[in-house]
Amino acid sequence: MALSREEVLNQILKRLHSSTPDVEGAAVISMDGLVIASSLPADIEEDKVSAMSAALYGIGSRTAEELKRGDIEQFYIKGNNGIFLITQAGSDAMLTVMANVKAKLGIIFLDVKRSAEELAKAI
Amino acid sequence: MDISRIKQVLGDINDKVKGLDSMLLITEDGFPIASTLDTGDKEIRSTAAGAILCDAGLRGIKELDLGDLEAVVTLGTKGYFVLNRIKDGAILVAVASRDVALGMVLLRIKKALPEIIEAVEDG
Repeated sequence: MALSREEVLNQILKRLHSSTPDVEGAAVISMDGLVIASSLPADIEEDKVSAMSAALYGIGSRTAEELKRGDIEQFYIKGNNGIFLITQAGSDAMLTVMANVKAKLGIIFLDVKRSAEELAKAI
Repeated sequence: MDISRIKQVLGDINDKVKGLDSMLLITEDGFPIASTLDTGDKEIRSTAAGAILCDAGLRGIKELDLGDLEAVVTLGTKGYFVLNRIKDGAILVAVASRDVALGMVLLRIKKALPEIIEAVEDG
């Protein structure tokens, strides 16, 4: 039996989560900041993640345009407790990933980009 | 604060990394401290963008409980905007084209940070 769209999205998120141990959570968010699918730790509020994703990506997009850096593809903030990475997943959604500070950014970028492409197709 | 030393360090990185458009040290309030740009519209726009992104990054870090803000990075189709928060409310900003590898930009910044921090604290 074919999987529903929601199951496909959840499967992609789970695969990303399990293939990269430093990824602590991931979510697919609509461009206006609503959760489409998520695989986040229990102590993380989904609404906070989705709202922050839309707000940060919006500001990143405006500044990229203002400084002639083209269309935004990825945006991340790094704190001493973790990394919050947002990647465009097609024209309608973004993939948000929370990773710990030990994460190798290059590896995370690669896995996240692959997942974002899969999500864009699935959406 | 040793402004001439800061300018020297910023200029050195800018010269050594091809594709790095400009380097700036700014305050969190959005004022330039030192930069490789001439005073004018471009410097004002880069400084303002840096302050806006730092503010957004601080909010995101606080909401998501990621500790102290270290960096905010925007990756666009035509280039990068890399922001590193350093001591005393100062922010190091790098504006680069897509021709330069992100790893090179991050590496040069990492190497220059101790000297910039020392120059900020000097006097």
